[in-house]
Amino acid sequence: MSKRKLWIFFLIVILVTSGCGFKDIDKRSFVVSVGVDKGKKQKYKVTLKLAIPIGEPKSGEQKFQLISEEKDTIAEAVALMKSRVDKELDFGHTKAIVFGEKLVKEDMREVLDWFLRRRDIQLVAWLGAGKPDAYTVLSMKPKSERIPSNWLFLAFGNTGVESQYIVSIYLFDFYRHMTELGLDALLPVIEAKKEYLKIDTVDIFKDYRAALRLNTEETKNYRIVAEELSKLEIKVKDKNHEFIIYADRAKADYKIHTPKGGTPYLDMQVKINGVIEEKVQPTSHDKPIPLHEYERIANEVVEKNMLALLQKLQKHQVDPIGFGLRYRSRHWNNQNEWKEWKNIYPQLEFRVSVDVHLQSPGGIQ
Amino acid sequence: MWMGSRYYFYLILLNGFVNVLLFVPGILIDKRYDGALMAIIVAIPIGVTLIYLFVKLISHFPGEGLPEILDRVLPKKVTAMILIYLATAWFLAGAVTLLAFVMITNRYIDPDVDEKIIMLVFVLVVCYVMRMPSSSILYGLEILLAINLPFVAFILLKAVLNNQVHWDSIIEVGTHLFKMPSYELVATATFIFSGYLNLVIFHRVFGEGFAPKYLSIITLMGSMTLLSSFFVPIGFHGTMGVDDYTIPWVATAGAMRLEFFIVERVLYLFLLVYVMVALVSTMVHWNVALELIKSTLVLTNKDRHLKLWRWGIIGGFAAIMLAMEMVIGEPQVYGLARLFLNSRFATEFLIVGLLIYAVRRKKRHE
Repeated sequence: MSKRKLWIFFLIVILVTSGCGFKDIDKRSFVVSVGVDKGKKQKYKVTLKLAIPIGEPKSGEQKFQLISEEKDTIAEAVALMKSRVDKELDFGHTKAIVFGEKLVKEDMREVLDWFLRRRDIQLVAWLGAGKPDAYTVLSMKPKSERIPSNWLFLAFGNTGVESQYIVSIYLFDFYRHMTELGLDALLPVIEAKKEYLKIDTVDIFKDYRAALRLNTEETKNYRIVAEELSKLEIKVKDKNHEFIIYADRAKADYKIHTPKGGTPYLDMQVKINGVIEEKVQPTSHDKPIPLHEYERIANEVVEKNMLALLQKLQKHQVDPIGFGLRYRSRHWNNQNEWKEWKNIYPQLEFRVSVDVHLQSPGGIQ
Repeated sequence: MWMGSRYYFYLILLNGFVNVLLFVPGILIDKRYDGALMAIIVAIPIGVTLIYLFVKLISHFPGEGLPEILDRVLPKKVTAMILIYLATAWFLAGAVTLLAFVMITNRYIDPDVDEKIIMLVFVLVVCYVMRMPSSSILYGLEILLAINLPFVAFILLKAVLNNQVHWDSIIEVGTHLFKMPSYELVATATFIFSGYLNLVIFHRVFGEGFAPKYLSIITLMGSMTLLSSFFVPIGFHGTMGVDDYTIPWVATAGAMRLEFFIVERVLYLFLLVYVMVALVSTMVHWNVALELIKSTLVLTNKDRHLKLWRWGIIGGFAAIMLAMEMVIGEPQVYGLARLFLNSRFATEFLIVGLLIYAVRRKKRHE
C-alpha cells in the first residue's frame, strides 16, 4: 500500500516538474560581456557580445556576434535586442561589464541599477571603463584569444596574466565603493589598441562620477597601498643611479593620527621585499656599491612616489584607499566623525616611511 | 527506545542554519546603527539561559510533551487554547520559511516556472514527511545536517577568510555598539537559539537522563553564527550598501567566486544547501504543529477519527499554504516573518513560565 502511495507521489512530482521553464543549451545565446555607452540620440547605447559555440575551442577559432541598441533605459534596449536574435539571451555567463569612457563621467548609480537588480547578472562580474568606448572594446578580437571575451576574464581573474597595473573590480565591489562613506569608487580603464587591449590605468570616482585618471605608475602605487601586491617591478632613478627592483611582495600599513592642537597626519609604512632585476649602467669593474646603499636610494625614491600619489588624491579630494572609512571605524563619536573627517582630509599631512629590503643583487654583482 | 540527547542539539543547530530564510540577518542589518549589535550580545546569554531552563524543567517529565504536561495542571479548555495558539505559531514558522524559499528559488534557480507550482512541489514533499513519527524526523534531521554541515562550514570559512572583506566596515559598525536595542531586535537575535522550542513535542522521545548538555558548544556555535550572519554581509557590501540588497546573505554568497571548482559561483552551492535546510526546517515545524493539534483533539475527546483528522489537518496546511502563496507578496512575507519572530520571543517566556508552574505543582503532589 505504502509503496503504491510512494509511486503515485513521484508520478505527481514528475508531472508537475516537467514544465517548459528550462530551455536547452542550443536554444540559448550566451552573453559573455555587456557594454554600455552614452547614446547619440537616446541615453544609452547597450552592446551585447554573444558567444557562438563552436565544436573545438582549441582550434583557436572564435566566433561571436555583437549587437547593440540605443534606448533610454538598459532594460528596453535589451528587450529590443531580443527581437533581433533567434535564441534566448542568457546573462548567466556575463563576466565582464564595460562602461564607455564618456558614460562614467556621469552619475553611475542609474546605470548600475539594472545590473544589480537583475537576478542573473553575477555580482562577481568584472567592471571596466572602455576607451575610446565600450563598443570598440567589445568588438576586439585579439589574436591570442580563443574564447570570446576571455582576454578580459584572464586579465582580471589573475588566473592568466598577473600584472601589477591591472586593478580588478567586481560588480558588488564597485557598488560597495560607490555607497560607502569614506571610500571612493574606481574602475580600471580598458584601452582598445589596434590588435590588443591595454589595462594599465584607473579612473577614480567622486560623487558617483569619474573625476580623476591615474597614470600607469600611480596605478601601481595605488595597488601597493590598497591591496597587498606581489610580483611587481619598481623603477628607481636618482641623479647617479638607475635600476629596477623586482619585488615579490609590497605592502603598506597606515594609521591616522589626530593630535590635539596639531595638524592631523597619516603615518604610512611601506614594506617591499625584492631583488635587483636590472641596472641601467652595466657593472663596471670599479668597486660596486653595497646592497644597503641601493636600499637607501630605493627608500627615498619610493617614498617620493608614494607621497606624490597621496597628495594628488588629496588635492582632488578623492579617497579610493578608504582613509575616511578607516577614520570612521576608529572613532566612536558616530554622529560627528564623518563631518570631522571632511575637515581633516584637506589638511591631512602624509608621513611615509619606506623599508625596501633587497635580498640579492641578482645573478651578477 | 529513548533518543540520545544529541538530537536536541540538532534541533538548535537547525534554527542556526535557517535564520537566513527568516530574514534574521536582514532585520538586524537594517538596524545596524540602532542597537543591532547590542541586541546580539544581549541575545546570547538570554538564549542560552532559556535553553538551560527549558530543558531542565521539561526533564522533570520524561517522555512527555507539553500537551501532556499542561493537561496535568491546567483546565482542558485553557490547555486546548494554548496548544492551538502554539500550533498556529509553528505553522507560521514553516510557512514563512517556505514562502521565503520559494521566492529565492523562483528568482535565482528558475524564474520561468510559476511560483505556485514550486510551492506545490515543496508542500507535497513536506506534507509527505511531516506525518511521520517524531523519531523518524529526528533521524532524518541528523543525516541532512551531516550532509550539509561541511558545505555550510566551507561557505562560512570562505566568506570570513575572503580578501574582499573590508574589516574597516565591520569595525565601523562595531563602534555603534552602545545603543539600546529594541524588543524586536532582541527577539530576532534570539531566534538562533530557539530551536529547543521544538521539544514541546519532540520531548516525547527523550526519556530519563535527558539534560541540558552541550551548552558550551551551543553558546559558541550560536554566537559565531549570529555574529557572522550579521557581520559578513557588512564586510562584503560595506556599511551603507549592505542595506540595499533584499536578502543580504544571497548577495553575499553571490559575491564569492570559486576559481577552481565545478561551479564558479558560490551562490549555487548556497542555494543547494538551503533547499535542504528549508525543507527540513519546515518539516520539523509542521510536524510539531500537527502533533499539537492532534493532542488538542485527544484532550477534547474529538479523536474518534484521528487518522482522518490527521489527513484533514495536513490537507488544511497544504491548502492554506497554497492560498498564501497566491495572495501574499514579498513585503507581506517579510511582515509575517517579523510577526513570527516577535511573538515567538514572548511565547518562549510563556512556555518556560508554564513549565515552572507545572514542575511546582508536580513537586507539591509528591
